[in-house]
Amino acid sequence: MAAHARSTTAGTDARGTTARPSDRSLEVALLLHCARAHMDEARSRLVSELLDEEVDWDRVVELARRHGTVPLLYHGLSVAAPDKVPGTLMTSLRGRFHELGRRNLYQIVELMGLLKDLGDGGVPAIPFKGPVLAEQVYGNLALREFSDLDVLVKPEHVDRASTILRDRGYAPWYEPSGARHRVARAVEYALPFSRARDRMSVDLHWAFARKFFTADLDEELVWDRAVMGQLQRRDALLLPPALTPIVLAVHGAKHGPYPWPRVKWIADMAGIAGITSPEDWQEALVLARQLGVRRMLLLGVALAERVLDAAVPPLIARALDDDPAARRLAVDVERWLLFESRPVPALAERVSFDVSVRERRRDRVRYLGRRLFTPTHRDLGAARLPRSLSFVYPALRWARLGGGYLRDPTRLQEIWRGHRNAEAPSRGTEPAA
Amino acid sequence: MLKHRPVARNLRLDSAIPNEVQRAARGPPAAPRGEAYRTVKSGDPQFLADLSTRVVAAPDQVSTRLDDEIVILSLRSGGYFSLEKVGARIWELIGEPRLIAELRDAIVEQYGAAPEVVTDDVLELCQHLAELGLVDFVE
Repeated sequence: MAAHARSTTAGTDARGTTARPSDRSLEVALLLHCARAHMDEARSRLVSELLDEEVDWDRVVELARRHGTVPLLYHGLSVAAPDKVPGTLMTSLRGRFHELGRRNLYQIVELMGLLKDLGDGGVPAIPFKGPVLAEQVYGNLALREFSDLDVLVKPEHVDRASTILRDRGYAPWYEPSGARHRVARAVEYALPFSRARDRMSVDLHWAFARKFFTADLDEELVWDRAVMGQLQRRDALLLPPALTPIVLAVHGAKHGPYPWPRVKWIADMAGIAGITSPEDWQEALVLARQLGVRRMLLLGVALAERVLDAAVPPLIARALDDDPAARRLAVDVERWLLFESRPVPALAERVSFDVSVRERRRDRVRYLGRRLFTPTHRDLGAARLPRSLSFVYPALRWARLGGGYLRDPTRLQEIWRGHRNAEAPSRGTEPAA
Repeated sequence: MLKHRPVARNLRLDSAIPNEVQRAARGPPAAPRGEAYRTVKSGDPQFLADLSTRVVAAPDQVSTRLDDEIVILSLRSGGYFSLEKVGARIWELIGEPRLIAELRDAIVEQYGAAPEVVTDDVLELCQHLAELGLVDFVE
């Protein structure tokens, strides 16, 4: 495994897992060792060993906040060696852990209420990500940070679901009308809602990504395969086990400016890799190949392996051997993930990633074409057109972009190459490019 | 330990959530896994449990473990409750229907406490949880 080939600056456990590869700082190593649902004895020993060194705790906490793993950090430290952590810090982490746990309980209650209202309103809905992963992967609501609720409904039910959300006190972040509404529905995949009084957020999905990103991951496929499962001991429509890793993989890969920007997402993938049966992995691979997202799926698992030393199911290990590009992409993503100072990304790098993460030539061409012509929020915001003129938005996009770059050609150059942040990286956490 | 700190006293009301959130969340609960059961006394303060009473966590709640503590959010009252140590262990056991005698035996075995003390504490806790609507007595 790639992650095991690194040189180390600390000890190695019986399985060959290293306490700290040389290209990782002590703080990053601690963050990653703790970013898992279950701390076994070997992992606890590695953490305990690292705690004998001089740790920059402010840095560790800042990293855990950035990567959404504060509960896992607290859990990992309290299992491994709480006595080696400053008491005030453990108290502070404990307070945050309990606060998040109570907040998550509140959010799951709200999710159950929303699902009930949607069901009563004739809107089938599938919850996914945060609370579902907390239960399925971590077995404890408190261990998975989530700040919003993700619910998938059928495209024809989006308006009805929006009304139900409004009745529950939510307001959409934006309300496109006329042609903008039509185009937004066609090119977007979710509408975010929020409720000010209790800081609740809901992402109302009708798809998992913009059409230009995964054209074939359509809703019918999902709804045909949805399964009735249990969420907090209540019946709930859920994604089928074979589709869950695909959805996580697409979610991670599509994210901007860099893909897979948070360790908690990789921890999710590592957890899912561990609980998905060989039969479901087999189905996932077949499905991913049909959808043209096989490499995205493999990248997700390769990241879990590389970053978190997750065990890779034999079937997936063979698939990774057959497609070495996935592991190569994982090296790039890890480099971006663990940058101490986040540079402004280069468009060239991003486009190169988006092309390389597709295994089929036709998907690459289709992606580039759609990326160029699919209007974004900025394009939709540039002009208010009547519904009958919605076809004008792609041309408007080009006029807007072209006009901007003609006025300032250096901007295009900067975006393509990226703005490199001159801030020096902290010790050993920014691997050489 | 149990002699000095009855488990029922570990049950704390922490805070409350808005009524509309509670009301909206109260959907029909799913049938529990395994054999179906029938609730005989739910939150009835007149019903006195004994060792032959079967108890199970009520459906109108969600809970999670926070360290040694279980935090429970009641959908009936909107209150957060917490159970520590022995109480938390009992809560985990009653995810499935259990005789109170079984709970007593499990605690005696795990903590090595005197059965007569544990019996009183477990009965008191179950009675208290039932009055709060957090558990059901079933057959």
